[in-house]
This record gives sequence, structure tokens and C-alpha cells, in this order.
Amino acid sequence: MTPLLETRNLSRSFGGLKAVDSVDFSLQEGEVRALIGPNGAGKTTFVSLICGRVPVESGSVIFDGRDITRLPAHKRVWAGIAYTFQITSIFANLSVLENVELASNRAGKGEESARAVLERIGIANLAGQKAGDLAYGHQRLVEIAMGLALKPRLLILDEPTQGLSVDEVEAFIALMREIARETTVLLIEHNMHVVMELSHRITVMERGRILAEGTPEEIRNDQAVQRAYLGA
Amino acid sequence: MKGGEHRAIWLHAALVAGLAGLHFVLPDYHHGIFARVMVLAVFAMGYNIAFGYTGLLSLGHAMFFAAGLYGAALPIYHLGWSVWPSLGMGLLAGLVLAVIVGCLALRTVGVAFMIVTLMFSQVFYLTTLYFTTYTRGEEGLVLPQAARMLALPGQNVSLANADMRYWVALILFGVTLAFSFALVRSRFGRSLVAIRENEERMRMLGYDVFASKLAAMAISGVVSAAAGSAYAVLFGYAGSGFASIQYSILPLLWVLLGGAATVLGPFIGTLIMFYLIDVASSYTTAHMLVVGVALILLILYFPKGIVGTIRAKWLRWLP
Repeated sequence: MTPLLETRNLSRSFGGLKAVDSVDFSLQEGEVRALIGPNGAGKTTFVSLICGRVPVESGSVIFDGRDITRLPAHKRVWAGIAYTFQITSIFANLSVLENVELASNRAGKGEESARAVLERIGIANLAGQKAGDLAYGHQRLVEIAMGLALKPRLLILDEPTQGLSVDEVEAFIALMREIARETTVLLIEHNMHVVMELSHRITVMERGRILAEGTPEEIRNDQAVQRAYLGA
Repeated sequence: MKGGEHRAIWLHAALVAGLAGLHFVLPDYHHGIFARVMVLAVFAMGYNIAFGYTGLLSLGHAMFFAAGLYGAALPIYHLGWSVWPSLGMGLLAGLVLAVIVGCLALRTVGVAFMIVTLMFSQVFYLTTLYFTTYTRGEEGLVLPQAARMLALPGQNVSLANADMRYWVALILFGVTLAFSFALVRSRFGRSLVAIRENEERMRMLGYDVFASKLAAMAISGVVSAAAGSAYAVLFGYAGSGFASIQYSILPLLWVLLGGAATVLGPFIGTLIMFYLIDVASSYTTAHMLVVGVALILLILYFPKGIVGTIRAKWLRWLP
């Protein structure tokens, strides 16, 4: 079975620092994959190479059997890759609905589709509110709604639970389970509870390379990972 | 929201109707000023599409205005063209120039974009001086009255006639106002504002940001050129002063004064600035000082401009 996403020998350096160093990676359709690793391991750069925010230096990115290495970011979105930002970047002056409409309009779907996404995420009651006035947890949900409104095949989430309360994290886990039934998910996450609950497999990065990969159980018991990341 | 839309349409229609009414009551002197302000406000509206709505701070829009001005004036003066095809040539010149400059300048952002647009505009200005044989440089071309006959069904009207000039300026103004209004309410217009606010976010929603900005530049350039072409045929003059840096700064000031990213702002700003200079220069030769002080007060107390402040404080539904 061909993977939905594959990277071969993918590299990118900034100055002398190899942020991503010859990474071979593959992700099956329908999978929920967590990407973990210490700060500065290259996780955000790696997903940025996948979604086109950062140009690839060498190596290639293959999505759904097609080489997208040189494709500009907006065309990768058309191909089905959605990215939600680590730092919430919604349009504060627009209403919640208008924010999501920006995403669904581009995808040619319009208001009804935007409302359906809000319904699905459970914030339909906030549709008319100004996004900048929302509580932080709700702003994160708007961010995810914008990603979902693109009807992606692969949803990339960059630290989605950062700054959420314990209750909000539980609600997020439930939401992601629901989303994952239709969408492949690649998730950068520091909260190990979220990682263990959600992911089918985990990829551990360190200094731009993949240190280990496996099921949550395997990763939990991996000696190298414990040394590098879990601090044990 | 829908109620606001109706009110907004009525307000803008009322402005155009009010300007039509003023035609019958304004004394000659002010009648002339209003005709000129309406044409220059079209230039300001064009600038506002790039600067106000899309966030492209161009310091080179004089070249688009002057492209329209010369695009219309040169064929009339040298080739004996009539008014309609000359106007078309003016718009075409603005469009072509805006697309070329846009393709190059939009590779930069922020201060670099300001410098690159300024540079292209200076090249355009110096080019008009270099070809003094054809443009007569600073002295400019004066279009003879006989060449400024606008062919309408059944009759030819002279644009040198003050009444006709006012009506043509008003029609151009009204059409541009309606166009701006429709543009900023459209999906495309809203995507431009969103690009201004967060370009990276829009790219990751699948928008081709470069293409959108280029389209905004092209529209802005054409509208600016429309003002330039109309200026040439209505006032019968095309000089290289209109391509100078002063005419790149002026639309910026008009838009800032009236309110960037508002549909009515460019007209209000142009009108007030025009009268401010007119009144100040009747008292002192240092009239630009008065303008400077007015601008400082504006930035200090009304950073959103006049219409922008009204919208923020009272009329949230203004486009």
C-alpha cells in the first residue's frame, strides 16, 4: 500500500545548523501520527517542509504518489494538505464564521460548509462572535476549524493543545478521535497524555534526525528515547 | 449586516446625488474645484485599493496616473486621435505598467517595496523628461479645445465646457465609487483585506497570495490611470509634474486623511486636502507648513483618518 505522505532524504539547514537532516518518513492514509522530540529537534521545520512554508533544500516530498517538492504552499493546500499554526493566527477582526468562510470560500464551498464545520467542532453557537474576543481555547478551535474547512486529506497540527486547560485537552482528544475517522493526522505535540491517547504511531526527532519510530508502547519502552527525551 | 448594507448603498448614492445637486448651486470657482477633486478622488480610490485594502504601501503611483495621462494625451496631440480611443489607450498603458511593475516589485515587501515602486516611478518621470521632444517636459502638452470633443450618440460634446466637465467627472467618480464598493464587498476584496492582515495564514488556506496582490496592483493601476486619462481630456493638459514624486505622495496623504480602507475616505481626504491647500495658500506662501501641521494632528488624534474614525466610533457598517 503506497503511503499518503512520504519524504526521502529530506534536508534543510539554516546557516550551519542542520535543522532537518536526511529524513526518510512515511505516513499511511487514516493514520494518526505524533511527532515528538525536544525543543529545537526540527519538528516544526520538518512539517514546514511538508506543507511548503519553508523551501526544501534537498530530498523530496511525495504526497499521494505525486512529487510535491517544488510545489508552492498554496498548491499543496489544493492537493489536500492543511496546516494549523502553532501560534494561533486567526483574523481577530472577523467573526468566527467569516474566519472559517475564508477557508471554505477558497475551497469553493461557501457559508453552509463553514457552518457545518463549526457544528462539527461544537462552536456553532459562537459563529457570529468576533474571533478576537473569544477565550484562548475557543480561538484554538477556530484555528482547527479553518484547517478542517479546507477538507484536507492530511491535517497537520502544530502543538494544538498548548495553553489549553485540562478539560479543554480532554475535549480536544475527543474531537480529534472524531476527525481522525476521515482525515489523516500529523501532530506535533508536547503533552504526552495527548500523544499516548491519540496516536497510532509515534515518530521521535532529535537534532534534525529521526531517533525512533513505533507504537506508543514501543516508544515508551525505548531506551534511546528515554535518554534523549523523557529524561529518564 | 444586511441592514448595514442597505444603509451603506443609500449613503454612497446620496453622496453622488448630492454632488449632482451641487452642480446647480456651486459658484464657478468651487464648481471647478469640485470637478478636479472628483477626478483626483478617483486616483485616490485607485491608490486605496492597493494601499488601504491590500496593504501595499506604494510610493510610485504617480507613474500609473501619468501613464493614463500620457497614454491619452500623446495620441491626441501627436496622432490626432479622438477622445474615446485615447481614453482606452490611457487605461491600457496603466494596466500594462501596473502588471510589469507589480511582477517585479511584489517580489519585495515593506520598505523594499516602497523603494522599488518609488524607483520605478522616478524612472518613469525621468523618461517623460528625456523625451521632451514629444512630451514637452515640465512645460507639458496643452490639448487644443478642438481635440477634446467627446463623441456621444447623436452629438459631439466639448469637454472644455465647464458644465460638461463636471458631469463627466461625476460619472467617472460615481462609477469608480460603485466599483470600489462592490470590490471590497466581494469575496476577492475580503481576501485582499485578509492578506493584508495575515499573508502567511492566507497562503496556508490555499490562496495564491502573489496572484491576488498582482491583481490588486493591476486594478489599482487601471483606476489610477483612468483618473489620469480623464484629467488629460477634461483639463487639456499633460505635464511631467504629474509623474513626479509629489503625485505619488499626494494620494497617500488623501487616503490617510480620509481613512485608509474605507470607500468614502479617498473622496473626503482629497476634498479637504485640496481646500486646505487652497485656503492656506491665499494667506501664506508657506502653505505646505499648514498641511504638515494638519497631518501631524491627524496622525496624533485620528490615526484611522476621518471616515475610518467615524466607522470605528459610530458607523460600524461603513464599507
